[in-house]
Amino acid sequence: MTVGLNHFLVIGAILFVLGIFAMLSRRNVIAVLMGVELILNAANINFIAFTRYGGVNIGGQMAAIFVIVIAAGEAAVALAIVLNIYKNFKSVNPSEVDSLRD
Amino acid sequence: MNPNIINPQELAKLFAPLVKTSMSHFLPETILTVGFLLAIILDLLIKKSSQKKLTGYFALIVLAAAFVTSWMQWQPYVEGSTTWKGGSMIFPYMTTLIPQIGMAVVDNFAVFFKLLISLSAMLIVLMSMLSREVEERGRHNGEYFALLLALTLGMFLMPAATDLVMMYISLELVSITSYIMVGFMKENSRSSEASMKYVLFGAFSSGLMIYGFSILYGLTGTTSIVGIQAVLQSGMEAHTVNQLALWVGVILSLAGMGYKISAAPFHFWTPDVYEGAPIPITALLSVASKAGGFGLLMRFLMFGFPVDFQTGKLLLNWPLVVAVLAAVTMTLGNFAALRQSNIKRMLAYSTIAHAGYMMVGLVAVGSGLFMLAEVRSVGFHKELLPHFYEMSGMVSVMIYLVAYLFTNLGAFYVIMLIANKIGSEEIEDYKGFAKKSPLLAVSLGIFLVSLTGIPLTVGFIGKLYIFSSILTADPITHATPWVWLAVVMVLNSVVSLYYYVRVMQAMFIKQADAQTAPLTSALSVGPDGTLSYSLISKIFIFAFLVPTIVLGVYFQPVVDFTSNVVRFFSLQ
Repeated sequence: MTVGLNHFLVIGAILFVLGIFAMLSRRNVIAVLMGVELILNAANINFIAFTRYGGVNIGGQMAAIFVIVIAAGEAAVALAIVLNIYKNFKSVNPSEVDSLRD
Repeated sequence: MNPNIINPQELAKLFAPLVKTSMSHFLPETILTVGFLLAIILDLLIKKSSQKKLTGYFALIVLAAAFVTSWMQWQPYVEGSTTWKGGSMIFPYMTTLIPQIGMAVVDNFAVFFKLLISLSAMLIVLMSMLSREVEERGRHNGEYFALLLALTLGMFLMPAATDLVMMYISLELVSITSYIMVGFMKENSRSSEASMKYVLFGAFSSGLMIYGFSILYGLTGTTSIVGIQAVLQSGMEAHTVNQLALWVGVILSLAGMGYKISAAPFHFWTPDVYEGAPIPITALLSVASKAGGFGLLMRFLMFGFPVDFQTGKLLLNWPLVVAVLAAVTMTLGNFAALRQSNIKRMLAYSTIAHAGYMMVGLVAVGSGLFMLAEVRSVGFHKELLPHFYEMSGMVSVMIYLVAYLFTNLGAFYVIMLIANKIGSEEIEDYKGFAKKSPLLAVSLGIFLVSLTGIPLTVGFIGKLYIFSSILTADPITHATPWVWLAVVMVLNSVVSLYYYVRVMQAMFIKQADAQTAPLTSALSVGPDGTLSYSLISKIFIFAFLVPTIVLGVYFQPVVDFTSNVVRFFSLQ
């Protein structure tokens, strides 16, 4: 059996679902942010697999590079915000940091 | 040597003119980028925190320059002109698929949003200079205004992007910068909580969006939305495009854009973020960032999935999805706003409702495309076209955005002035406010009336055009498929009247009692119990008040201006 496009797409889909699961179920902001990284990397795997097996252009690989760069920027800002949250609330659990509500 | 590699010198010869023309089309964005870098340097050079406001004036100059250069990109339609192109691609590249596609485009549509966004950014800079919340963090004011420029750059690119990668970058540039701006008051726990919630929701929805984009890329083999349209156009006929996968891709993409315009079910962040953020940033998010999001969404749906002119059918029945989301969004926003006690939170829910109204206009864009295809199929009816332009959904959304700009910014400005003095945003504390400052109370009343959409204010004009666009009958079959949506919108407007009037009732009818918050600074109260405001902050109210009333009576210039935008699309 040779590894083809479908295998990569399945891995991408699994990562995507795991990422969503992590975002919805984790009780620590850091773990939730790791879920975000999983979602973004699922998209990256899709992009690269489609480029490799589609063979039309390199647009997908270019997109993946941009996604990686933006993910890094987003992680930096998000971690700074989490540090600040810890200073103010002494907790990084989103359900405990919940003073704004109806 | 590999024969496939082109000689770099020849490549440079080929691309030099393209880059040169592209850079001239990219002037407003270049000004903002350079301005952002200079603002950071300026911030480092200024030592005293009392002088940090200079960065604000610098930001104002940069934004004004961006406004003027965007204005120069405007191409007014000349009747019967053959050279009028209406738009040009920025950084184009050649493919075998389509002759020329690019990362972004300069057309009247993008220019309209750039003007709207830079105007509101300028008003926000002025507003921030009068804000107590921003002033209290004096040492960091330089960063604040520099980030505001970066935010504006992202919002400039959003409605201009014609490539999935560019769309993602511009959306993330806006998002990441606004996460920081929302948490600007670092020591304030409400502000930092708001920024945490924003970053989690934002990262989640943009993750869904980029996954959706990857599916769209896989289906069509291109990241350009013009290319996607071309591939779908031919693929639909040959039945090579999997409908289910296409729907999954589009719906996931809509998640990221829906979050930016705070449409249900991606609206959960809105009330928390609006309540916690500094008031000028709340105003910016509710107007400019939403306008950019609408620009992005409209271009994505209109360019990517328009009508197939051969068969006269939509490539994808997205108006139905948007219609359902619009109905849910406005109902949810209005009913949740009814039971709010914090005015910023109430206005947050009201902006969700307004996003719903604008999405009704977006549905009309879809049916307008449909009608355009039908008009073309029976031959070009010249006499039908002017009517088509003025009543089209796109014009109505743009008129609504203009109305919303002045009204909503004005409302937030007055709330900021009140919070500067009484240090509270609770509607309870507004009791008897008309006696303390009649000017502020009356102008807040006018802004709320305009948000409701009562005649003689610009809010009414916005709603009127949305109504007429959604109820425009098909020129050939005379069918009006969206009557139910118009009915939902009318009922919602009635509901919204209740919570807007509640604020006015507190200000004008109720008397201040023991529970009402005391004034934070006794010095600001005049001898007769009125609040005193500086002359400049009073004059600045009229910058919002005059357009709200004047455009409510004399609105033809706005209609003419926005109709120019649509003429470009009809030429395609």
